[in-house]
Amino acid sequence: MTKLELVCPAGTPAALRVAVDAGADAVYMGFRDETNARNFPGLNFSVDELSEALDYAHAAGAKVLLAVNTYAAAGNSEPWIKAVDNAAKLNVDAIIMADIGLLDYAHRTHPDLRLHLSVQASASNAVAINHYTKEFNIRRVVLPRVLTVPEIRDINSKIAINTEVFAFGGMCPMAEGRCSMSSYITGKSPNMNGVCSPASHVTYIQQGHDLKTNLADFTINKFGPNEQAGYPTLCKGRFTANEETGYLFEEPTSLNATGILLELMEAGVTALKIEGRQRSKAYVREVVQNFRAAIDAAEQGERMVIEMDNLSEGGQNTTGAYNKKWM
Amino acid sequence: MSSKTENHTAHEAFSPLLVAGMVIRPLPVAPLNRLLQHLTAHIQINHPAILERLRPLNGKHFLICPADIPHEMRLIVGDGHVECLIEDEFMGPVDVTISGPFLSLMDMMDGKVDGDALFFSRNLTVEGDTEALLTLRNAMDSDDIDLRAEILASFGPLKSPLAAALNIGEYLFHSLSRDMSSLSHALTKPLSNRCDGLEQENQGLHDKVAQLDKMLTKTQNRLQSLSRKTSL
Repeated sequence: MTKLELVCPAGTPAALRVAVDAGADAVYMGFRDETNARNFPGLNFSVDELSEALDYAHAAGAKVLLAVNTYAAAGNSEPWIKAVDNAAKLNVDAIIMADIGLLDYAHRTHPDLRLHLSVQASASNAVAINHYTKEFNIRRVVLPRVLTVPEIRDINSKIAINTEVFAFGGMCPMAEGRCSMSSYITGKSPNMNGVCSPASHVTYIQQGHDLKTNLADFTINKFGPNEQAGYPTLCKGRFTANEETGYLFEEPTSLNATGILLELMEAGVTALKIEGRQRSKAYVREVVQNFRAAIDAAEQGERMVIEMDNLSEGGQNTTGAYNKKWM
Repeated sequence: MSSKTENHTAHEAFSPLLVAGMVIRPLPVAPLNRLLQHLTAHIQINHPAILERLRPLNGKHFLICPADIPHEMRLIVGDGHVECLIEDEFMGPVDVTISGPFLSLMDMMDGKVDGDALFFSRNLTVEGDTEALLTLRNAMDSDDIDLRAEILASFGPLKSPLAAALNIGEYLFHSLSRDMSSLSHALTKPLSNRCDGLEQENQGLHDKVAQLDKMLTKTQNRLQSLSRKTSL
């Protein structure tokens, strides 16, 4: 079994430096536009900042992966083409993509550029992954957060490339790349605009000691005085139907896989992805340091469960679909 | 194994900040404003990339409300510059209001604490234009701001004596924190013990009611069964 590679988020140059210093093996980020799935205001990198980031990371022996993982807009693929060309020009260590047209462009135009298949491509079976490998020579697939550990093991036995799985952060209960729930009430989705429940549509309202969270003027949740809060995403909303109030899909919670690293290694996983390019450098520092320790322990065959409830949505963690208990 | 960052809760009201607040409250606002403007200007010179990220916020007003000190601050983003002033009642509406314990707000600005974590734990309250708030947060977080170092550096040749004064201030703050915490503990202990007693009593009553409820259900079931038998 090989040691797990720790792939960490960087929404800003400061977060990249923090991630590298805290022990990241690789850092991923996006350009400051709609070409990546965290197109949030004030976040992300200019071309010059990416160039400096590459210098900083490479000097410390860390890799830099660029996410160009949204789908090119109809009739306006220029920003995406430019992003791929800039990635090639700057010699990023890999580019993370989902759109088959862009994958084809990158593969043909920049044959030496290493391609990773983004989770946004929603490739959740060996047939799909092998197709992407054959057509575009992808070298790694980021698996959706809907698979169990045995399913990941099975996929790994049928493919010839690396697999990367999510290990911490936002617990997306839907199949990535196929979820349009956010766009039903905001008109914007992660796939097309790089935003789920965009901040422009979010309102937090304090009602005495209660906190009401709204998305596009719809109330998604109301937290009591002692309840831990969460973001107003539809999939983690609390709704009332037939006089019963509860969570329909998922409670506000975050993924934490520190407790199952040995199982993920045994299943043939190559890399662990920490979610959270939209989070602060304080979050990056704490999560990366903890995962560095957990991965180093796992290499020695030791299990190190590290609770990070303080950083988690709703103040709680789950192993999600990896240990699917509901089927 | 758990991982915890330092978190200053709003419940820590009985702290040296309470005393500091009493000292600051009667001070004239003008010198405080000059101090804030001096520091804000210094940070802007040292971190121009932050200003670039703040560009979409031109004209936005943010009200920062530390829960445990007497003054609120207004941050105004202009075209390529930022201004920070002590809030007064004649200043008009704001776009975003951020409230929380003073030390948490400072730690967040210093990049020591995650703002989302403070929000999840309800130690940070935000209202207004969420997109503007996130833009501000992301911009401030995009560079390394060490508030202590910035304050010291902004005073040029006075840096060394100010550093010494800050060290003494920090020592006194921590020492006073411990003393006030002990005092608070001593003052609230009888009440806390009484609350614990009431909690136990309450739990006992709760268990008794649950037991009676169970017995009642059983009796009702038995009566229904007897009633069915009688009617047959």
